[in-house]
Amino acid sequence: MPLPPPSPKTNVERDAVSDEVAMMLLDTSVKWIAVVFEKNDGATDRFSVTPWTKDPTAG
Amino acid sequence: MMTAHAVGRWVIGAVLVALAGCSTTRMSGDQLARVAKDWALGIRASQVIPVYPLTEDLQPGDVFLVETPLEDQIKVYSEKGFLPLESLVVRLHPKGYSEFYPDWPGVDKDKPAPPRGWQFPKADGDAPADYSDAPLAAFPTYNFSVSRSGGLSLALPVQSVPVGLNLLDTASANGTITLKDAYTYGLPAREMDDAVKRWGSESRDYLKQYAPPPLEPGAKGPARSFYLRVINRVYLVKTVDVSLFSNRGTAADGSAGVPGKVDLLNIANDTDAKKRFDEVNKVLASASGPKNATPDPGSAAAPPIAAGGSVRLAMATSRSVSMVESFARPLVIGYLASDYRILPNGELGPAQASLAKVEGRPQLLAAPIAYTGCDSNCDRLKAWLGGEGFKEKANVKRLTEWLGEQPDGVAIADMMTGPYPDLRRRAAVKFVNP
Repeated sequence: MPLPPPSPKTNVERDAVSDEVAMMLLDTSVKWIAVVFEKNDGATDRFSVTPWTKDPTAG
Repeated sequence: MMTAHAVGRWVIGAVLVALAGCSTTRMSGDQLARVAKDWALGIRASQVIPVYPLTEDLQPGDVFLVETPLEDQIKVYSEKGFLPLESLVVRLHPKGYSEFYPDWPGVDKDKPAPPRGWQFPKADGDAPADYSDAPLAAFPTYNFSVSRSGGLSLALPVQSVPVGLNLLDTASANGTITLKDAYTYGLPAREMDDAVKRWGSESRDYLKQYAPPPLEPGAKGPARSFYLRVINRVYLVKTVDVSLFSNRGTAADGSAGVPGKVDLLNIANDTDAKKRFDEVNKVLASASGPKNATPDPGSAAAPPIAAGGSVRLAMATSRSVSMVESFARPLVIGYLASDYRILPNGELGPAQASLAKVEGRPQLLAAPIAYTGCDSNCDRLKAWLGGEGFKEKANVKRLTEWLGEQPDGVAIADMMTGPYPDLRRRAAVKFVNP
């Protein structure tokens, strides 16, 4: 069965962002990934990591 | 100067020619496609997905099976201008109108859900449709150009345009079309979502047959997916005003044996204008109405034609005509909908707005999930996949194929650090600690 594309992920800690991006890019349909700062939880920065298959700035 | 008798003959001749121009049977496939597309482009400008042909029988809760892959849908939408609604799967009857329209006249728990009360105010269907209580909508005026050299393939699914063009006796014209008496009603996507998910869980076996098929070995491109398109709002129109302005000489100019330009309907110059209007409308009525219809001699309105509608001449000069086309009951011209992808096992994915999707606007691929960190199984799998950068491409391929075979399979990124501990454990057992 074809797999659905990866879901956006929230609350990703700073050190894990690069791995998340690399894993999302294992899906070849993912062309764009947005990394957006969410908050600092006192210990580390947290980010949302959102994959897109289309240019999100074109809409 | 033409006699009144000759004028009457000219009127009847012109109207009959006009009505002949209404026929679509002689149109080529290309012309018909263009009719659909140009109309649809006008409606699309209002951020509504067009319906073509216009129909009364479309309402919130209608669920269609969309077989076309998304990329093809975008192509079809761009080329045709509308999305064919082919396969009606079910008509849901979601509750919630009285909550969504609290204290709205005519919308009550004890009364039939919209649009039935507006379509048929009396249960026996004897009373004419009355949409006066329905929520109003307004559409901008659309401009268009039309040329007879194009074979009267008027780009609008209304009969007034060819009639008007022939009354003008012109080879080309510019025009405006105004959608009057427009209404809209619907239900919030949340309400519809509940109804769809409820139906989906009861119809899992039916939906399973539309689960994504396995990819053929070596297949390229995106997998074919099936969607349920669920209508949640419709737009209706009862009256269409069409004004045409001749922008060239008449088609009859210089034609031997054909009457020259006639200032037939210029009310500024002719005290018989009302009589002539009535005469034209009477011809329109008798020529376009049902065979057993008897026009009311005291009324200029025509009896029904297409979709129970009527065409009536409202105003005319030597270089312009305005016509009013009314349908017996409002017809749906456009809709808003949500699409649900049919997942493996016949489950339904999250709702996506159809309009944004077919226009190619970017959408979130799925609902966000929370990052749960990389647990021990994730660590082991990560090492097996080649560590940072996931360089073991052969293992990435094996894992992807295995996930594709799992009933709860998700993307690698979701499986590794998302809320899927059981799937992660099974993957680790399969590949790392067999």
